[in-house]
Amino acid sequence: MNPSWRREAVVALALAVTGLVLVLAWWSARPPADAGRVAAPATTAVAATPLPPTTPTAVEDPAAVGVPAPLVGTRSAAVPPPPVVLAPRSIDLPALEIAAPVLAVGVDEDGLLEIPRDGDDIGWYRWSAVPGGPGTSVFAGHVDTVEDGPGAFFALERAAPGDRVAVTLEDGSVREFAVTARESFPKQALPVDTVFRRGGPPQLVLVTCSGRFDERTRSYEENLVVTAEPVG
Amino acid sequence: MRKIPVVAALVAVPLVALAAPATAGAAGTGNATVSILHAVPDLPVDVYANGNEVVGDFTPGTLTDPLQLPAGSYDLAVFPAGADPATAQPAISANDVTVPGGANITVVAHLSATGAPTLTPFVNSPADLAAGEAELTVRHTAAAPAVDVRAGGTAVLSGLTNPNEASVTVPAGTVSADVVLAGTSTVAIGPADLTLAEGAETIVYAWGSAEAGNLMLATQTINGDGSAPGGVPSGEAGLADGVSPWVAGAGVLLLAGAGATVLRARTRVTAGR
Repeated sequence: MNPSWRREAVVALALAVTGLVLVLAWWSARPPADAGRVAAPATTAVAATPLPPTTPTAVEDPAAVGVPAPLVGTRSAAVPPPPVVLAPRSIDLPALEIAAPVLAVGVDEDGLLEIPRDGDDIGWYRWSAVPGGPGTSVFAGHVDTVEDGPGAFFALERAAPGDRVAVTLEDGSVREFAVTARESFPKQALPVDTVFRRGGPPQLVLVTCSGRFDERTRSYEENLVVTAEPVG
Repeated sequence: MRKIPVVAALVAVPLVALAAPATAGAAGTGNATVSILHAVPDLPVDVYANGNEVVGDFTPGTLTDPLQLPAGSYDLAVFPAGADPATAQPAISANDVTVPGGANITVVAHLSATGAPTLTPFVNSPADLAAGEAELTVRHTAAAPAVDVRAGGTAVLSGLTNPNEASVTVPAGTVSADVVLAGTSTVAIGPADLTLAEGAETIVYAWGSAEAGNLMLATQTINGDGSAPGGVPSGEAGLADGVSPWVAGAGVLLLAGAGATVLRARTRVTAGR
């Protein structure tokens, strides 16, 4: 065996071993069908909280009680100044090394939540709560994009109960939250009325994609939903 | 469409007094939600329903909190503030006003097109709104001719006359709105920055008197159910599906490379024999 043959044999072996390792890595790391579902009691944490009923001022029937009814309150009907909305500017999950700028987003022409084009940005649904305000404050980011590779929420599937989430608002104030649940839903079964709950207790909801990737539709089959509650 | 039947029923019957359940008609059962808007300039009033004072010293440009009233028919009377209802003449009155159960109504004391004080009940009924949308409803309750309503310089409602209303669904947000004489660009009211809340019906009242030069806007917001976005499309590359298929692809290429190397070496060895 001449030296040239020996060298090529070594190269071939190295290539083969490396290739096998990569293929095996891919195979073993493929998530099982229920990947992303976690021990956290997601269903209770994500469960819809009924909105507190807005009870209009009740006036007892005057004729029935025989006394003058209490007078009803009044307020100015003048056009109010536009409300001050403190939009979030950035979001941090130190445990997952997630630190991303936040943009206010709406819905696209299909009625789906807009996701910032840049995979490094996170979108805050502008019609959801300001973090810490009544209802859910919804953040969504790409798990990955074709252009930029892994997105800002790529690591979100490793979120664990207790992980801290810090949201910085545009006035510089910081709202702290702690993860309470992580759950995956088939996209068609995403409980949007729970995720986008209007009113009720303050809650942070972080959404990205997970599950199997459908190469044909170029999209994931599931949404990963992480919820967090205010701390302190 | 959804507003017409109830409005018609209410307008067909003269207005306001908040009757006892015993006198309730066949208008339906349960409570109705009723707000009252005072839109008659320069006239502080007391409002009575079935002889009982409901709002005292009610000043123009103010709106009551929502009242929960049993369905039924009501006699409404509006007196100058402080007047004795036993002896004074009401400034406005309306008897046997039907209040259907379950309805959300705003009763507006305002001027007619010709300037006479009057009462008009409007039914508040937020449209089914898609995510990101708001409903703008404009009610003409001013002593003024027909108007158009513009948002951001574009007419969104046209030819509105007293005491009618019109609605349009628009993207939620803050718009610069004004009211112009119908078919013209002569501004009658505004412009004003109007915040149209997502998922809600923002009702704007044009009120006052063109002749007296005191045309104004009043607003009221009725929260609807709104809608959530239909979904969250937040991935497109497949990298998060376990380890990327690219990794496996690279592995396959490397294996192929190894095979090729072996093949080439063997060929050379054979050739060298």
